[in-house]
Amino acid sequence: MGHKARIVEVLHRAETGPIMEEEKFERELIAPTVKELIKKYDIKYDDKVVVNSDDDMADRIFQAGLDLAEATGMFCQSTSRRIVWSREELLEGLRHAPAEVVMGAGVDAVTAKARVPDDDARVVVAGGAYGVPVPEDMYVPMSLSYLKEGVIDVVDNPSLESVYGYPVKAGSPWEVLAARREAELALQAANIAGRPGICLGCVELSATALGGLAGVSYGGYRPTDWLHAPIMSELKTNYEMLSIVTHSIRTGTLLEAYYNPIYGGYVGGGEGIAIAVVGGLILLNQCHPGHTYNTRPNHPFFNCDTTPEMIWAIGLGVQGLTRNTNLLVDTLVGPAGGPGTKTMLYENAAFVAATTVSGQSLMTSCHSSSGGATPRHASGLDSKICGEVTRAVRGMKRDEINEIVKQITPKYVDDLDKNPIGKPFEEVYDIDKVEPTPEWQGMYDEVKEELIQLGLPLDRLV
Amino acid sequence: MKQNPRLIDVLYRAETGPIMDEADFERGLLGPEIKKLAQKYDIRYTGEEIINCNDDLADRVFQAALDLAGEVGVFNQSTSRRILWSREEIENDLKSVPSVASLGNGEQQFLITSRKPDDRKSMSVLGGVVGIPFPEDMYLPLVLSFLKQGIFDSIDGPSLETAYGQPIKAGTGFEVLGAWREAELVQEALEAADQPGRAVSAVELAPTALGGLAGVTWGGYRPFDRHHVPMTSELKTNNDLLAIITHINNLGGVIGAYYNPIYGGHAGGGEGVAILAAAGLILSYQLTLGHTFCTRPTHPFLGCDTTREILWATSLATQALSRNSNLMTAALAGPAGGPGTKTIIYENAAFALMALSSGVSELLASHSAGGAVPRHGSGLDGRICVEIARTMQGITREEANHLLEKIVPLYESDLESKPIGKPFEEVYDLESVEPTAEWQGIYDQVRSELFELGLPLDHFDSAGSK
Repeated sequence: MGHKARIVEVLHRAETGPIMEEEKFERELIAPTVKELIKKYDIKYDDKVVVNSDDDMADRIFQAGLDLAEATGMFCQSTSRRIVWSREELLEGLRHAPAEVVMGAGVDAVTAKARVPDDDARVVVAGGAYGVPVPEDMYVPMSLSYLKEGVIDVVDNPSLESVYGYPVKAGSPWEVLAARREAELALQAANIAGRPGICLGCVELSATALGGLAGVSYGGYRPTDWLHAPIMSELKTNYEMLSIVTHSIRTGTLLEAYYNPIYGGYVGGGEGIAIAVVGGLILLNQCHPGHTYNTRPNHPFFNCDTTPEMIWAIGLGVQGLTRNTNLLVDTLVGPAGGPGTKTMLYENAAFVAATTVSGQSLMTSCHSSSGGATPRHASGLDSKICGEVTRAVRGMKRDEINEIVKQITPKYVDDLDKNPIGKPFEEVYDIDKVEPTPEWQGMYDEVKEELIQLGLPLDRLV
Repeated sequence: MKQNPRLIDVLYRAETGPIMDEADFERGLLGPEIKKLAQKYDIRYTGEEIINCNDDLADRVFQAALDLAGEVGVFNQSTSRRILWSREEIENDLKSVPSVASLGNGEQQFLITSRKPDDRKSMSVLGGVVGIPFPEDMYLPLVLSFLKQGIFDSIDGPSLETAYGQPIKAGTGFEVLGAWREAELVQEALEAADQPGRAVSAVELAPTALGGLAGVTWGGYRPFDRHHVPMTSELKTNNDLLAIITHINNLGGVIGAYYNPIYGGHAGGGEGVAILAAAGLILSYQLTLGHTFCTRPTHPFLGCDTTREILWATSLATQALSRNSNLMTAALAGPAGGPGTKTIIYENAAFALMALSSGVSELLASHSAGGAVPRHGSGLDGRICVEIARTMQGITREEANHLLEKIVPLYESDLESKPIGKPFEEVYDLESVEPTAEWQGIYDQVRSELFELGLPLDHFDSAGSK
């Protein structure tokens, strides 16, 4: 069965798979299986390594991820049934996953291609505030702060706090209205920036299927934009998300599926995160069959994914997938730090350097300030550093980057538990000119120079 | 602000209006209010006319409907709140109601316009089965049976029983898939008939908002199609329907709102149905900001809207609105009879004469066999309605009433016997998409009878008419 035609089978299995209680699925199936697989495949975190360069371990992680996907399947919350697949079916799904996809339209289009670790091929740079809540009047200037940066190929926008001054209620007509308002503002910003065809991540405001369906329609987001359909932690989908996936497939809209395992939860520490990333993205390909597959594991207390152990785990998971499949893998950096802090710039640099040399096809950034949860705490420079590092490190080797990242992480790890959320957008940018303040620009330039001194070739031209 | 401020106001009132139990809304408020208004405005069904010819009565029904709309509003089932407008707001908004709507595209584009009773202006006719359930493999020939006649302004398809062989569950990914499958099949039919710009109705299969949103999008139904938004009986909406209203307003689509009061229910008899139908369509405009407003009062036991009393009530409601506003009213013929019966042709003819003379802007034909029997619908069912609409423009209510005095007795004694006729595959050749000789013969026979009764159907020339 073809890649996307599988959706009918997914919907069918969501209604006919084995029944299980949700709590048992996580506690009695996922958690013990992950533990067992860590032992079986001898996965061990060595805190002297931030970027894995052990190919054998990456391959073992891939096998462990496949085992996990086969053993647990995906849980459908709407039916309390597991959507399960045989190993052969999962492999068949991976074989036919798209290895290349065009994002955006016209001269603004970019192509994401499957990569491998240490690859010299360019990575698509996605930048934006990724759902950080903003008031309506700040939406366009904030979007423009990203659109203005030439290093950013794809933009993923903030979430609206209100629509025409009214609160946005999930699952109500307000969600429909808000999705449209978001599309209207996102397209307006893209047009102002002279990048009308740029691929836009969407729909930020889609707590249920209503936003996802209403936003991608005539006059709204376009099939060349990038519709998002997540699964819940751990390995859970529902009819809202499956409806968005179905909508994407039938409209021919680019689809990004994502899964964010929780560090220290049912999957445990770094080893379990790495397995969950692989297993989760394989299951995304199977159950949310789209084009690109993202992960952004979350630290439950710091709300970030930039601790050394998590960078190791995510890099390892990405390597497991990129060495063994053609999946278009991407990761989202979620720094604890926010705009106007050096912490965030270090976090972002370390994370994207590690994930880019691990073979990701797209780099998505960023969930600023405590993982994207602080209203108005995001700015264009947050993603610019990610884009610059991504462009700079392609072709570099993992062990080389490991040594550099090991010098960067000590610059921020002690700050992570201090909630270094920085300043809101209006305090780090001149909103009228959409330019960073001299203070924020100065800090950026300073850190950039430091990173060059540490060995990241941010000044390379080709 | 790009968005219509009135839409935001509707959504706001849907969450802030007075709270009430749903049962109290219908039993405690609506039922007594209708009774009171029927007395206040002296609205009485006497059985003397099948089509109302009394202008004063029509105007009194309009006033009663305004009172009712202002008094009860629309009940939002999702919030248990009433969406209220003052009578002054309602009257003010009615002044800006659209009096013309463009549907379709290119060679198939056409206009629906506001009409008055006894008007010489053309009445649009939609052909289709309006949601009667059909299997997937029969979708194409059924829709083609309407399209290939080339006489209908727009088309309304059936509801799919399955999508890609799978049952369609409301509120699931299958509903999304079902809406898409429907849009896919109807466009295949339009291509096959070489009528790509013909307006079709969307989305038949939308038990929740998912179908309504998923069907109208890139590659699916188009903005120039007609987008159905019902109001549930009596005078009720919910967040799913409000979501669809928001979606269609967002994309600038044409909304075909509809409201079908139930005869003998909270509305009571014909007098109450007339008041409620008129009020319901006024409130449909308040709620949807739409374009056309259709009613199809339903007899709870016969499933039809072609009894004498319901015809009278529908004529009275549509006259009330067409005489006193520019609202583009529509009416759906819902015969008890089905394909292959004489009954359905008599019923549809009677209904068409009522609609044409009462100032209805658009006739929908038809909800054959009551609209609920799978596969009981065919292209020939609605043809008589077009023939009447095209040959009898300008017919007065008195003239139409006189004809109905002759036509209604031809079928009314059959209504209780559930004359649902035959399924599509028994009245049409599915390969050639032509009616069987038997069904065509019955049609021709009834048409001749109607001609003998005084309907100038010999003037009908379908060649190149659409």
